[in-house]
Amino acid sequence: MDITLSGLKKTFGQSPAIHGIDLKIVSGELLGLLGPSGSGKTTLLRMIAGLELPTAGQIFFGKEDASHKTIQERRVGFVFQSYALFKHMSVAENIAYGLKVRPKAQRLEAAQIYKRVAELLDLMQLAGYGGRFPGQLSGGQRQRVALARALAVEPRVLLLDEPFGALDAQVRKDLRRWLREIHMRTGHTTIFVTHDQEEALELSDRVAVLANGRLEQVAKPEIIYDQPASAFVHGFIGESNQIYVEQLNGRLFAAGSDLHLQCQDQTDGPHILFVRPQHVKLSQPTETGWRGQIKAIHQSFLGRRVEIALSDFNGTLDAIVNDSEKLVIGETIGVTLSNYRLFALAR
Amino acid sequence: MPGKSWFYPASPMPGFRLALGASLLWVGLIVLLPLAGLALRASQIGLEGAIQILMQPRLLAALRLSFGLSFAAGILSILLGGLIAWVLTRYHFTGRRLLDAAIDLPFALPTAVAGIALTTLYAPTGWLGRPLNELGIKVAFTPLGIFIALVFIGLPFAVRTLQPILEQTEVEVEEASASLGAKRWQTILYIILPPLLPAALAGFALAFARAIGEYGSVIFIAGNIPFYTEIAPILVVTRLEEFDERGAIVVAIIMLLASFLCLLAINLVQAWTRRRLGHD
Repeated sequence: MDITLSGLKKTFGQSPAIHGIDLKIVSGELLGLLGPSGSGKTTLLRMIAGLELPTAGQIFFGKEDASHKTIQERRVGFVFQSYALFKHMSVAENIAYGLKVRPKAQRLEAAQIYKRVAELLDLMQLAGYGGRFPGQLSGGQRQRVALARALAVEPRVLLLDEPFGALDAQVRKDLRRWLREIHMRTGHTTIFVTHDQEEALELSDRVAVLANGRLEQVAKPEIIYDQPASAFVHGFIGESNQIYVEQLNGRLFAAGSDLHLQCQDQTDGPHILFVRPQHVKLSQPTETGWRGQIKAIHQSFLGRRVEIALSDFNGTLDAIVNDSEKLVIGETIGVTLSNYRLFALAR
Repeated sequence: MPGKSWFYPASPMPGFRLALGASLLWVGLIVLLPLAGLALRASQIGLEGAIQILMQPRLLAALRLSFGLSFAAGILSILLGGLIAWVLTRYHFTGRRLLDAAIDLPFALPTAVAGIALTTLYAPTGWLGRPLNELGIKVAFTPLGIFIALVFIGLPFAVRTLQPILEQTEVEVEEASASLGAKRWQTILYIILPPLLPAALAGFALAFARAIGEYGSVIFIAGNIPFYTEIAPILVVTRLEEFDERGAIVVAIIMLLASFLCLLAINLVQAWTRRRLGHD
């Protein structure tokens, strides 16, 4: 089921939470909504579900305008961060609930419900747990029950709010891989909210980056990482060094010295330069290139990081370098950037 | 520094012996000793004598009235209490804290004061009694009056046992129910009410137990007419005033048993809930 958001806005009292979002989610897609806390990602998800009504704009399920449909009518599967399991019901009863509350005419027979629950328990690797109560399960198992319960009603779209937020690192990783598998097997259109970029980049077909109630970029994970569309996205995703620079007649300057770097757009004026630590290369100092002094060297199992104080203008850079390079603190070295991105700053 | 003993495991917290000793002494002197005395005196009456006393129509009528009205008052307390607890936990309105505080008033108020207030209010000449009287409803000096007094006394127990459970319930659970297609009434019936049941039973048992023993707030409004508005606790006093100690003791023992059964029921319900809902 395609989901189309058109000019979607939400205001709580006086303060706007969502500023007008246009987004099309393709049927069968796994979309990650990524953003810092307070960016409006959960509000957006709750609006798609029908748990919040939009202040303006429309939500389409396929061609049908669902903007003012109730949550019951929308037939969505919603998985809450806190799982929201029914604690007084067994696992099997939790999963069967959505099937049992249907009006008599649409209700499956008891035997069919039983079969469906058994299938879902199998799918969730929870076979044999049907008789347990949520209080007797681990966090990861509870999350899987919540997912099974949402899938039981054959939702038109699956919505997950920070699905792995409350789990520890290893369980998170397992569940992530496993959710990907479930998605491939069932083919549900799925939207999940997360503030964990690693999770979003690893799991999603496309990532929608949200900040202050606005969409910053919607793209495949590798595009988001390699070609961030805005300064916010570059700063938010992955690590980067940032240097404020001035563009003048197609040349870049910092504190008056020419950086000898290519411009990336035509607009003169203040820019911010982003460079990831792995794109900062060390070399012999040269006359025209950047020079810097090694301030600190951090050796960890992840590799060697070097902190460099740039000599020609104020600024420091973090670099990730080969373990084989011989470096001494205080040494003067040359610095080149193998890749960088520039974003014009609003004056 | 107390050492390790067969009696209790070593603990870094000092004061175990002293605290346990004081607790046992307290429970023994204040609670168990009088009850043991009562049981001892009762045993001297013998089963046959006890049954003979028990079968007196006036006593049977009083017990029937006490248990029947207490049961009904417990039920109404839990229904009304549930509603009040719901309003207090779910809605934020001006005066909520005041209402919340007012719930405890029957706990703190001397019961005789409550009795006099209720009687004044519901007497045929009172604010509420007069209009009710004109409608043909008599409250004071009838079983209905006793019922009202017992609900007044039982209500805070019901509210205070349900309130914490309602505070714990997450709104997400209701949203989850709705997202699965449940109508509002289905959410209430299947999702909101069942987890409240154990607390509701406990609250009912507390209100019931309290109502069985209630004396002060009832004597004025009841009128204490034998076979009509005479409740069991009043009969205990009446028997004692008639120097019929044996009669008083039999009534007292029956009420003691009723209290024990109530406490037992509460504990069983709570143990069952804990098992069922896990440690969460």
